[in-house]
Amino acid sequence: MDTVITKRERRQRLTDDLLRPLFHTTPVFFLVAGALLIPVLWFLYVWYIQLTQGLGVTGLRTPSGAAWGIYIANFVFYVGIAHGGIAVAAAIRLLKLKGYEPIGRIGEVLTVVSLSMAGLSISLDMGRPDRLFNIIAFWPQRIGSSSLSWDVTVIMLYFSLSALYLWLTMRHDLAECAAQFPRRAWLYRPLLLGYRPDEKAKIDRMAWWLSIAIVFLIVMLSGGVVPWIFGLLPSRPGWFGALAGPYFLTAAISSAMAGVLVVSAMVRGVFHWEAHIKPQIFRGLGIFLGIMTMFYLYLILAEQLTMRYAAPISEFLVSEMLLTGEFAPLFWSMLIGGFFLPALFLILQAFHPRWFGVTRTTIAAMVILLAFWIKRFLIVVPSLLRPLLPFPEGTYQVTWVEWSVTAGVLALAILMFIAFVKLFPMVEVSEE
Amino acid sequence: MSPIRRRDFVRYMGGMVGLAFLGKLGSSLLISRDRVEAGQSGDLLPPSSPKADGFSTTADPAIKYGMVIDVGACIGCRRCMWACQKENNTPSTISPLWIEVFELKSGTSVTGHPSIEDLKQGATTSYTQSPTEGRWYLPAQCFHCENPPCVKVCPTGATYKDADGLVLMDYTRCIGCRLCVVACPYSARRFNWWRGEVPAEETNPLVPVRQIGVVEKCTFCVHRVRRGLLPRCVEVCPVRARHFGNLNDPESQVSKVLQENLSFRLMEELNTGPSIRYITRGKKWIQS
Repeated sequence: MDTVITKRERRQRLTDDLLRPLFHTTPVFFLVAGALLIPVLWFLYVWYIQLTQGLGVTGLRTPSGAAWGIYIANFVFYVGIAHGGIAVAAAIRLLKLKGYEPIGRIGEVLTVVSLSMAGLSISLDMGRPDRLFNIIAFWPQRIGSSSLSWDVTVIMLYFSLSALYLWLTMRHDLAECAAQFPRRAWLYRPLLLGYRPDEKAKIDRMAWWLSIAIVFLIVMLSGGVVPWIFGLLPSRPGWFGALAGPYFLTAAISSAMAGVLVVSAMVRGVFHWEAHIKPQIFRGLGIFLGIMTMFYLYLILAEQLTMRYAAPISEFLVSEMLLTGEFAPLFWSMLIGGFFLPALFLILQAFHPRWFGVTRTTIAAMVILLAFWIKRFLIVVPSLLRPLLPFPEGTYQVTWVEWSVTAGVLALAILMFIAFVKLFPMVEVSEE
Repeated sequence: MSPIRRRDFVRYMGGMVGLAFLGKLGSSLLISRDRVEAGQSGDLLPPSSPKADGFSTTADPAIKYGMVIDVGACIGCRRCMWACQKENNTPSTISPLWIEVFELKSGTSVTGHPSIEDLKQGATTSYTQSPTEGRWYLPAQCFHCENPPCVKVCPTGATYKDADGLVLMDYTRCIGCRLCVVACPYSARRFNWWRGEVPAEETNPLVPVRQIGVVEKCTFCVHRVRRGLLPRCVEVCPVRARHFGNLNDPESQVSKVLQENLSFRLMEELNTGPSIRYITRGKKWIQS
């Protein structure tokens, strides 16, 4: 009898603790939200300029110059991150990794948010975003051959499945929220459509099958349709090749892990959830991230060797731009400072547990995350600066418009995330 | 927390279906509005005229258009570039123009496939005098490939291969994603980074003025060749370095020129099958 009471009490404390962000909002939150709103509004204004004056306000040009730039780099970056959460969540469910459960939903939300940002980035890059629906309208004719149609298909499928997954696994907690916080029932009730308290077993079964589907889609999206946009084009040295798939997939999983790690650490720090999100989670994620990043370095080596050893001159020239040319400072600092050293630290802490610290691991993950953005930039841009015909060599100068848009999209992502934190339970309450 | 009843559920789903319907309606409105916009761009255009010549002329499948450029004869005068610009309402914001003429040093090979290093050795597009002793000139534009990579990647079918071999654009369908721009190995495609303006009195009514944010490129003057005229660049060439015609007809001028001369195509190994072939009949590029 005693144990039952303590168990219930403990559960109550846990619930209170985890739902606290929903009930108590400090002025700091509004300050942060307000600060994020500024770049978002600025971004909307700048987008208006870009729409009315044309994409000429960016640094993009063709054929001398880059026809794609940091908008596409952002797109690939956000698609990569989008694998994080849902991959973690699916892995937790399929492999029954109980210890990682508290960060499952953080990851799922990260997926939904960053996938939205990926879609937005594509719209930002389009000359005619008002005709976006043409992709859907002419989908039946084009799905057979257009790599962009494949992309849109898989991204929409992936978004639907991850949003569905998030919704299904959250319902139990939403019922708890609706009961504890009647004033917000208008928000929770539509999401609790058809809810029955005994639905958990069925939801678990559905989520299990969804996880299987999502794991397959991860390979198809980041190891498939996104790299195939690049890897299938022999017109662009540096892009063309079968390595593109595994290359992008490794980058996606690594950057996604880094993203989940960083966001989890921030959520943990802000809400003082040290007791719920345990340090072991960060250690485990960190070691995995370190190994994946090292593997990515091996892929860079394989790629660069192929581009130099006995390669066609066009491949060699792109490699030269990276290793010794105009992108060399960026490339080498990314390679050593952005990938190698943080990954080395993350792996070493597997052997020396005393070197481990949540903060250090988070910083290493942040550096790796930034390096993965730079890598996406270095994938997209240099190959475009060397047309195969002897057009004058162009350059790509990122303009203030593009930086404003990039900052605004990031701020929007964070804003969506913290709004979610305030409206929905971020860590599954239903433990045990 | 009471469970939601079936009636509510049905109502909810009904709302969803309604929303989806509205979305479809909205998208079709967007698309049809674009069509009207295109109709206004040239006065003569009928309202539903999405095609590159503005008239939706139909292709004759018995014809296969092709061009032969004699790089031995070409003197690099660029008359084709400027005439093309005028003919096709190309705004000054499009740079380079649809046709680009490269000046190359002699000694660089032209047989088969000029490698990038060969071409880069002294290649320039910004020469101010021509012809220059020891130089040769390579005009390039859309090659109207038999197996065009741009058509393959287009997510909307805005760029398409017509039955007579022309690779054309439907400017009202293009979403401006520029996947075709990066997929073209010849960098033949241009993008409207700015709102291009052509003065009304200089506008060719046979060619639609392109909107902002869409891709455009050489059409082999579809509005002329389907009426039996030569492309403008062929017409204006002062040294008759350009030949154009039906490759399916052995009596046509291009077919005869190809029978008499060895020819090569650019980047044959990419399997694009360009419809522009080069010959070196003039051979002036050989001496240095």
